[in-house]
Amino acid sequence: MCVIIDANLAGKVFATPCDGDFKPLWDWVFDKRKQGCIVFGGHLAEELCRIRRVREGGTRALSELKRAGRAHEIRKDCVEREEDFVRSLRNASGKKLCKSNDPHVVALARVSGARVLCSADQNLHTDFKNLNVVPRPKGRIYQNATHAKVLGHTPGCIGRPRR
Amino acid sequence: MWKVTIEGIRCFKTRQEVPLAPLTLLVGENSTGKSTFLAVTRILWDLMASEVEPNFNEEPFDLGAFDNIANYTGGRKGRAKSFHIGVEFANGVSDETQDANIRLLATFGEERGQPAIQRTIVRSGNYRIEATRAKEAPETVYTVAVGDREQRVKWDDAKGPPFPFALKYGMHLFRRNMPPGEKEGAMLSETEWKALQNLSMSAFMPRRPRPYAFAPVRTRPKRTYDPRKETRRPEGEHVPMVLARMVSSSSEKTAQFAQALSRFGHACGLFENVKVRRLGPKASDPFQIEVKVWGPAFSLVDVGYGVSQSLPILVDSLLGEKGQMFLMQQPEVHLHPRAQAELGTFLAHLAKQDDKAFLVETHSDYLIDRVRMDVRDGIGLRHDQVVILYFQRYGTEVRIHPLYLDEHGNILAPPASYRNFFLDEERRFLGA
Repeated sequence: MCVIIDANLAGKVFATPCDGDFKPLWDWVFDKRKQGCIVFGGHLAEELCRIRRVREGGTRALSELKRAGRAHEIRKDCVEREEDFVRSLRNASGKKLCKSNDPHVVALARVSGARVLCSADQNLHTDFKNLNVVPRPKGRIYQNATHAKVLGHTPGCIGRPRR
Repeated sequence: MWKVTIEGIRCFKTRQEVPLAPLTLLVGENSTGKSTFLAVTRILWDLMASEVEPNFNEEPFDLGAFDNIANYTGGRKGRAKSFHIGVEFANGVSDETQDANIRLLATFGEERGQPAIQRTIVRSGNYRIEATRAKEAPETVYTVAVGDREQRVKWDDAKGPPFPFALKYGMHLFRRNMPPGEKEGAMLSETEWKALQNLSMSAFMPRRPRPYAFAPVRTRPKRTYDPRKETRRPEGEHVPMVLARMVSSSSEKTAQFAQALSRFGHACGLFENVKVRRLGPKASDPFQIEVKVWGPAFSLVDVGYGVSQSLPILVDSLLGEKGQMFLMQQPEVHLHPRAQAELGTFLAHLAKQDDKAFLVETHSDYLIDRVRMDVRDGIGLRHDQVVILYFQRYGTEVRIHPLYLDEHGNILAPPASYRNFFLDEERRFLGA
C-alpha cells in the first residue's frame, strides 16, 4: 500500500490549501485507520526537493510522515543500482522495455514494492503497467479524486503500517 | 542484548517482553512508564550481580513503596499482590546441554510495605533453578529441575548467604545442604549437575558493568568549584572534579577524551573546548570550568545552559567502562536542535566503538532522526543495533511496541497510532 509521487504532480499534491483531487491521497496517508505510505528516494527525492511547493510545506509533511513510518525512503545507491538494471531491460527484438525518461521512478517501484503511481507522464504510465518492466502486482495510476479506489492496492509493500 | 520482562508494575499490567539494543530509544507521551522501565533495567542488573535486595528508590529513580509500584487497576481487583520483572540474555557458557539464552524472572511481594523478592527462577532449556522464600522466613526452598525431574532442599538463610542470593554461589552449596539420603538417591546425573552449576554461574555473573543512570535535570553550573571527592552522582555534581583531574593529566586517555569532547562541541556549535582555570597553586584551591565558544573562554555560568546540562552526559558517557549500559532521561534538555542531532551521532558512535549500551528516554525528533540517518548512511550503528520502544497508553495500561529499522533507516510496521498527534498537527498546518 505504497504510492510514488512523481515530480510532475508533486506541485499539485503538496499545494496549500489542499487540491481536491489529492484530498483522498492525504486522507489515505494521514488517517490512522488506513494504511497509506509514500515511497521516495534516489533521484526522485532530489527532484521533489527542487519543487517550490514541496520545499515550502511538502518536505515538512514528508519528514513528519517519515518519522511516523508512513513515508519510506529508499537509499540512493539501491535506486541507482536498480535504475541501471531497468535501463538494460530489452524485449525479444532488443528494443528498450522502459519507454519513459524516468527509469529512476520505475526502479523505485521495483525496489520498494510500491504499485500506485501519482504521475501525469503517459510514457511512465505505460511502463508502470507493463509487467515486464514493473512485475506483479500490476501497477495502478492515481491522477485525480476519481482514482481514489486504487489507493490501498498492493498490500505487500515494505512500508505498510500495522493496524 | 537483553530482553526485559515486566508485569504488574505500575502501568504495565500484563506481561510484556521488551528487546533492548545497543541503542534503545524510549518514546511516548508523559506518564507512560518510560522512567519506570529504566529503573527496572538497573534493578535487573542488581538482581543478577548484587547481594542485597534491589532498591527501587535509588537515585535518580524514586518508584516509592510496594503500593506505589504494584499495578493498580481499580475496581474489584484493586492492587496487584505481586509483580514480576525478568531478563533474557545470551548464555556466556558454551554447554551443549543448555539453550543459547538464559531467562531470569523475579517475583516481588509486599514485606512491611516495601517490595521484597519472593521467588527467583533461572531457566535455560530444560534446566531450571528456583528459589522461593518460605512463608515462615527466614527459610528458602531451593529447587533444581531438569525437565520433569526435580530435587528440593530447604535452606536456613541465617546459615549462609540470604535469599535469594545463595543462587549465585552455585550448585555445590545446594548439594552440600541436601539431606544425605537424597544425595545418594539423586535423580540427576553428574552431567546434569554440571549443567546446573554452569547455569547458576552464568546467570549470576554479569558481563557488563552496572548500568549508570543520569538524572533528567543536571546540576546548576557554578562560577567556582571547591575540590571534592569524585563521587558519581546522577545530577553530575562530580563532573567539574572529573574535568579538573582530566585536564591536569597528560595521559593518552585524557587526550582522547579531550578530543572527543571538542569534536562533539565543535560539531554542534556548543563549544570549541573545555578548560580548567585554577585559582591557586595547590590542588585544594578552587577552580573554574571555562568553555571556549568563540573568542575568549567564558565561565560555565556565562554560557548557555545547554553546555552545563550536556557536560555530565558527555563526560560520564565518554569515561564509562567498555560495555557499560547508560540510562538517560531527556539528555536533550536545553540543547538546540543541532546539538540534539549531534548527540544522536555521539551516542551511536560510543555504542559502536566502545560496546556501550544506551537506553535513552527522549522527546527529541532531531536525535532520533539523526540516528536513523546515520543508519541509512552506514556511518553509525547497523539497523539491527537500534530499537525504538514506543510506550502507548491503553486506558489504565501501557503497552510497549518495539519498532525496528530497515537498512534505509525507515521504521518498519509501526502501530497505527504511532505519532498520530504529530500527523494531525501537520495535516492541520498544511490545510489538507
